[in-house]
Amino acid sequence: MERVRYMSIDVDARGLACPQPVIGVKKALDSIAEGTITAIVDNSVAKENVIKFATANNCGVSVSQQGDHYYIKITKGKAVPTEQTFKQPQTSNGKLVYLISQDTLGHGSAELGGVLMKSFMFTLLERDPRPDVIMFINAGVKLTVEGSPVLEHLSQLSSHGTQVLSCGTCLDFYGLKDKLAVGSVTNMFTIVDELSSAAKAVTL
Amino acid sequence: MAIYQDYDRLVSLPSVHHAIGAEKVLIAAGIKIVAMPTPREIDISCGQCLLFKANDQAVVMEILRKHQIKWSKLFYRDAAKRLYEELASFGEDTDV
Amino acid sequence: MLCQLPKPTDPNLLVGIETADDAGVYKLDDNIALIQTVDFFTPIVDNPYLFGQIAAANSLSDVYAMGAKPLTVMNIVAFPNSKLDGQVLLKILEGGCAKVMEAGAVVVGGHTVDDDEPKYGLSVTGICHPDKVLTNANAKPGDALILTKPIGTGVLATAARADMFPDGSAAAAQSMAKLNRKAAEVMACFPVNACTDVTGFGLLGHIYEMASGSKVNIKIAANAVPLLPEAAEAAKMGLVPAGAYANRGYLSTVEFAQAVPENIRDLCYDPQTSGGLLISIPADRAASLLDVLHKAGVIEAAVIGEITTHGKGEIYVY
Repeated sequence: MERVRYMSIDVDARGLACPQPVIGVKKALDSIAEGTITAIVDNSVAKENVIKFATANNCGVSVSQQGDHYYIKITKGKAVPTEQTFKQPQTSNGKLVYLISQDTLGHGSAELGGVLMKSFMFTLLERDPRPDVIMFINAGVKLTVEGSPVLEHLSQLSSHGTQVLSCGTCLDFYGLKDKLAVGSVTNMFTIVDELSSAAKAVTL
Repeated sequence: MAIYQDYDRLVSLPSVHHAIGAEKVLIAAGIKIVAMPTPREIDISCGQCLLFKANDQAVVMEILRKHQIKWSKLFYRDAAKRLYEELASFGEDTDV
Repeated sequence: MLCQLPKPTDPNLLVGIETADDAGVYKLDDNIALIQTVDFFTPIVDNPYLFGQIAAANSLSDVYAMGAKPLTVMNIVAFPNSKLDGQVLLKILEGGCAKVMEAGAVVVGGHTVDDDEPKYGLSVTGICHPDKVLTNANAKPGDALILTKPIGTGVLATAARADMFPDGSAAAAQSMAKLNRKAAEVMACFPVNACTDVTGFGLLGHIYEMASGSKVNIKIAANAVPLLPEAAEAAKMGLVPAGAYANRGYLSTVEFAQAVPENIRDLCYDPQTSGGLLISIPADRAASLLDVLHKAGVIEAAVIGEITTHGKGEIYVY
């Protein structure tokens, strides 16, 4: 029991008959807007039912078995906004635009920067809303060519409607013009236009 | 949005360094791997995990063992349901 | 367990325990066979009168499932005399009696024991022409399978205990209290091959009994299975009784198409109380039987599948 000493248990449903475990979890989840609750159950029927309840209510679930008890961590997220929640300036086109200016994320360690960029692209793919446009300049174009560590993520973003654009000058500079593997080539005019007319622009 | 749904195994690692090391050796061995940030369902602090497919489990665990790369936990992953079920823990389960 | 007892060798025993059928059948003469069955259980609803009705309907169902007519019943009662008021028992018995009268049978007696937990049910005796007895072991390839009541009573009983889905739970109680009498009377006018009723082993459990008893394989269309209101949502929410998991673990010849969602699968294993009749009839007569059932008030009856080939009881749900 060493490992679980510091875990806070919100719902201890051990020894409780069906459907008490589900009721307990429902009460606990109803009492928070977002966050994590942990439930313990002592049989697989209760485990299966709590998992079903959490999944049916759009929560994430992580299950760990310790002896004959199951620790079930349930993650409740913010309600997904149904409309765009940021104000759009008069002249914007409502787009969400990212400008990636290098092939790593952040400053300090290049190795860590590579890891972070991969994590970032993974999460960009997983989360809503997905960007409308991602533009790559300078060393950033190394991410859209053959051999890029994030090629798969970018290909998926592209096939689901995100425009992936790589600066032609930069590709040329790095001798990568014929190695472009996702999206299309763009120029500074497009880059500036997209940035200035976007509802939200993020530069990394 | 549920992505890489056919990657139904997730292995969490104790540090970024372990993750980088693991990723290198697994890619070198030709295993299809996806690096991802640790999902919130498993841990709220930022960390790295690797996704792979159940078919590759035996090979992956053998490679990590051979290179003496410490991992933390192995999970079954159902991306569509955001469900992770712990299958094994480093040091405790010797037959994964 | 019963198979560990010495097997009866009386030639007049038409249906014994070998095929796990709904009731025992004993031939008296060329025109009359005696049907006998018994069932009782603990309360599944709070209202004692309703409980009495449901338990009685459940017990009577087995006689209908054999194609027989109930004649006499005896009450079986367990009651905590020191903990509950006698009025509660009276209400239970009144509910039971009302259903027995509705079935055209009579209560001839009964037996009560003191017990911590109330239980109620009936021992039922019925009659049938020996040649018209319907077992669960005669389904034929090419038959259509009809179910006369929607499923989901186990899940909705669990929901009721969680104070969720009150409308669904109320609909389930009404469904459980309904007799299978009309369905049985309509069935008698058709060339039905096999029949059983759906109870504790769940829809798939009883389909399996029919399949293995008849030595056939059966295909079920998940979309065609009638469900009680809110049962699908309740199952999705994890209000699935332990009995459903037990039923699932017990059956090994069931295969689901990938598209069948988890909650529907759970409902197929959900233990039912006082469920409908499962009727196997040649496909060309199915539409006609369904039509007459609907006209007789058995409005939820539906064709849910077909008997495909001879086999060992394999069931495919798509």
